[in-house]
Parts: sequence; C-alpha cells; structure tokens
Amino acid sequence: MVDIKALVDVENGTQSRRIFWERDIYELELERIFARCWLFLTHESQIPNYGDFFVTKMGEDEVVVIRQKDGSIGAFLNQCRHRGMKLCMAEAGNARAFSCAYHGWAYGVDGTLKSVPCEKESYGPDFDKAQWGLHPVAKVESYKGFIFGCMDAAAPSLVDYLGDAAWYMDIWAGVPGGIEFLGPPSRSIIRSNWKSPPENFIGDSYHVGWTHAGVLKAMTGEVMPQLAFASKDAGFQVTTRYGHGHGINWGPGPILMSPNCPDLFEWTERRGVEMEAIVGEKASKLYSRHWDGTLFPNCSYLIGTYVFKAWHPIGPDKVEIMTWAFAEKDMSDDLKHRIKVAAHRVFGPAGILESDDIDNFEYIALPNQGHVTRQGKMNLQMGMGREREEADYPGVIGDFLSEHGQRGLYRSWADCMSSANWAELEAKTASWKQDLLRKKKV
Amino acid sequence: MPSKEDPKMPEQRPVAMELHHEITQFLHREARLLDSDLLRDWLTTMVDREIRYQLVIRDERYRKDKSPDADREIMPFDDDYTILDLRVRQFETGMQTMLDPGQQMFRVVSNVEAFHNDSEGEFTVLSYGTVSRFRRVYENERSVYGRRDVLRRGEDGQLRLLSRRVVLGGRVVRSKNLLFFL
Ligand code: FES
Ligand SMILES: [Fe+2]
Repeated sequence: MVDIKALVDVENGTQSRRIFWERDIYELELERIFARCWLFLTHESQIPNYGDFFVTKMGEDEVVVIRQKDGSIGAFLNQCRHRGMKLCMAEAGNARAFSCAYHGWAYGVDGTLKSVPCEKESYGPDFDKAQWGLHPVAKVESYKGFIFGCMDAAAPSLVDYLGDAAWYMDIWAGVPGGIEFLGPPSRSIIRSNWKSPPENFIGDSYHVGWTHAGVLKAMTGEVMPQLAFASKDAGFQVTTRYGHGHGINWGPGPILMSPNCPDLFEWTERRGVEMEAIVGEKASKLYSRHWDGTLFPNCSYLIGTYVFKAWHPIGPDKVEIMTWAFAEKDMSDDLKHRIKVAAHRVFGPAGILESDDIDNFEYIALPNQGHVTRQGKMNLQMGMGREREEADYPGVIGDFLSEHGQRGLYRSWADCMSSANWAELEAKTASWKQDLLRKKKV
Repeated sequence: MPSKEDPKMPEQRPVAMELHHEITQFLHREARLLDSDLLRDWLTTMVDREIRYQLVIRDERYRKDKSPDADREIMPFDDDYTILDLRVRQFETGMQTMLDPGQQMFRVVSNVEAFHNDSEGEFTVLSYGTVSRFRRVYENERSVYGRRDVLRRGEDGQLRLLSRRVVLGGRVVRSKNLLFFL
C-alpha cells in the first residue's frame, strides 16, 4: 500500500521525489485521480455540429467525444466491444457511425452498437446488441463551453468540483458570445512527470524572470528582475478546495502577444469595462490582467496569452501536451488568426517560452532514476504562513510570488490519493479552508 | 513533397543544371550557417525582408474529411522578418539556460527539385531534410521534414529565401521542442 503521508507533507510543503517516478504510485494516480476527477475533454467550439467528434485521453484511457443529435455531448471509451480494438483512428472529424477496422462492428454517435456483419448467420437470432454498446464516460458536463468528463458516477457536479475556481473562470470564459478554440491542438510528448507542467502553470511566478530571461529580454529589451513579482502590488495567488489555482498578475494581459496583436490591449480594456455588468466590478478588474491557472489535475491556461493546455500522462515519466489557442467568439477573424499564430509562437512546440519550460520539466523528472536521489524531497514552502481570506476574492489567497497554488495542487493530490472514494474525499476536504488557514504557523 | 499543393508541379519548368547547382549550394550553405549557430548571418544574408516562414503540422483525419486546411493546421512557426529577428535575438541574449551547454545540430538536405516561377528570378524549390540534435550528453533527437521554398534573386544577384513552408513529419512532436530553424 502506498503511504501518502510519507509522500506529500501538506503541513510542511514538501513532496517526495518518488511521486515523480514510481510506477505503483502512478497506477494509484490513474485510479484515484484520473478515474475520479473531472478532466478536460475539449471545447464545445471544436465539435459544434451533430456527429462532430474529437478523440482525447482521460488518464491513459482514450475517449471519443461526440456531439449528439439533440446537441448534448457524449463521450465513450475509444474501443470496440468485440475484440477490443481501438475504434476511431482519426483524431477529429464528423461521423454518423464508427466502424471497427477489425471485423466491422459499427456504432452510432450515441454509442449504441448498430450493426454486426453477418449477425444472423454467425451469432444467430438471440444476439443482444444492446448489451454491447460503447463504454460511456460516466459523466459529461460543460461549463462556459469547456467540456469535462468524469469516470466516477459518484463525483459531485462539475460546477461543484470547480468550486471557487468557477468564479474566476466566469471572468474570462463568461464573456458575451463565449470562447472559441482556434483549430486543432498542437501535440508533443515530453519526458516528464505529468504533475510538473500543471504545477508550473498554477502559479510559478518565481521562474519567469529566470527561466525566460532570454526571451523576455529579446521581447522587451530589458531583463526582468525576479524581484519584480515580489511586490505586494504584483498580484495574488488563489487555491481552492479541489486544488485548482491561479496566479493573477496586475500587469497587462496580452503582453506576450504584443508583437502581432497590439490591438488586444485595447480590446481587453474595453471588454473589461463591459464585464462589470456581467461579473461585477471587483471581478471585472481582473479581466484584462495576465493570469496563469490550473484546474486540478491536468489542464492549464494563460489568460492574456490565449493558451489552453491539457497534460496527459503516459506512464510516470512521459506527458503528452495538447495546446490550443483560443479567442473570444466576438473577435474579428483577422484578430483570431493572429492570436492563433501568436499563442502557438509562445507556447506551442516551437514556443519561445514553452521551449525554456520543457527542458526544466524533463530535468525535474530524469534525476529520479537515481535511487538515492529519489528518496529526497522537494520544497514548496515559499510564502507559507501568508494564507488569508480576502473579501473580494473567493478561495484562499496567497502572495503572487509564492508557492501557494502549487501547495494547493499537492494538497489536493494527497486528498485524492488517500481517499478510497468520493464520499471520503468530500468528507476529508469539507473544512479545507479552515484547515488551511489554521496552518499559518510554520 | 507531403504538401496539399499539387505535387505534380505540371505548369512549372525545371531549372537547368547550373541553376540547380546554385540553388542546392544555397540550401547547403543555409544548413551550414544554421548548424554553426550563425543565425544572424543566415538571417541577414540569406533571408529576404519579405519572408513568410511557416512550419505546419496537420491533424490526422479520415480521408473522406473535406475540412479546409486552415481548420486542420497548426503553425508552430508562421513568421515574418520581424519575428524571425525576434527569435534570433532570443538566441543572441545568451541567457537561455536551455542552451547552455550548447547543442550540436546536423541538417541534411536532399531530394532538391527546382522550378522557374512566373516572375523572373523566382524559383520554387522542393526539398527533404532531416535534422539531428544532440544535447545534454544523452539527448539525441531527429526530425524529418519536407519543404517548399520560393527563392528570389535580389538586385545584388544573390538568391534569398522569400517563402518557406516546412511540413514536419509526424503529428506529435517528440523532440522536446522545435526551437530551431529548418
Ligand atoms: S474487434 Fe472490433 S469488430 Fe472485432
Ligand atoms: Fe514558464
């Protein structure tokens, strides 16, 4: 049995390196995190019409997400029920049926088994096709156009799972007209543990002025001191019950898009004012700022940079990254096109910032080959003891230059991994806020 | 050439042997400058100010899918001269921890075909390439690509790269990043 307390010390903000390498821990993650939590599948704008589909992963389970006739969304394991072959070989498209390449069993977009070649002649009259439909994902819901799936029927609703994070999501995803994803995702496989990228995106403001010093200097002409984010005016971090978190920086949002999309500054200023009527004054002030964020366990985004990412584990030592550019539906086609190009330019596979990050993610994982190295622990103690509530912002707040969000991610990791089911997890996290605020003394 | 454009090139005249040689030498020189980290030299001496530089990856769909390319392509690069210059400046800062120690790269260019374009002094050039990158002692990655370039002869008589469309082999990038020019 994996001893979770020995792996993540929530009280002290440390983590064992073993959780970034060992197979038995990883298998438990697949069961207790990926087969239990709500996971991002795709965005509604990627499958707008009846029969549109997108193939993605939930943990290492491949799923097909399909727009149904009534406009709802279904998701199914991407595997034929006959001899288990992978069913849909395309990654996206439009279909009225999916037929298996092996013997030709064909399924409808609703997952039902529609036809079996030579059915009467081979199986006889009593074969019950209704028993052999595609395996459905237990729950599929969408929030502001973002479609999530959950393998655990006992999970709370998506909006409850998002919790305080929904308030933040409303600010950028609740814009009039909504959000649109621009084209297919770029995809790459890196040699890292799946937790390192979302951990970085949830709030690692610390690395920005160091890891990205070169590109920031090339873009702005100046070296950004790491100290710049230490100011109380730099922004703040948030953590929530199930580990979702944000780092919100008071700097202007579209800063990294400025070479091609200078008009975004004006767009976000104007839109920020419009958002006042929709989300209220306090929330609307965040709209035009730069944020990073992660929804536990494995999707992240950058607001202002128009990048949305899913991090799919492939074993304990590899991650497949899917990166989409997104825009607001109300933007002009010309601006959307420029955003698509600019977003991949910074955080696609040839991304001028992404490339710096990937090397870090890989070399956090690789040293864990060493037995002695692996027994060591890692430190996320920055800003411990400064957790607080703030009247204007939901969740528990921490300093912008801190590891507050990252600690939240591992708190949630430990909660999930030490719970046998959702009932236990909900009970364990019921007083999360008080527990966290009580921990102020280091 | 794995491009959606007409692979048969029916309208276009192949260039004569001497011009073909000049073009091939151009591609080899490019590879040498890029492999040698002489990015600024490459940019200023071999790239036209009106450059459009693209690297394209397409998603994988069933053959019957008729979605327009624009809906299916991701462009890790879609750069004009100012952006190429920005990318070169990123390397020039010397501040990328990712590139210290330096890395070794070897670009191999092959299957070069060249055709006259309608406008005088412009040529469409097709080629294949592989690039191997060695770094951090153990890393050894390779990318395979096809290119469709347009070269233009400038007033100084030199060929320069006017447009480049690189089609990368493989849907999923497996080589850490593509932070290099092809
Ligand atoms: S495995 Fe799919 S039809 Fe036989
Ligand atoms: Fe980064």
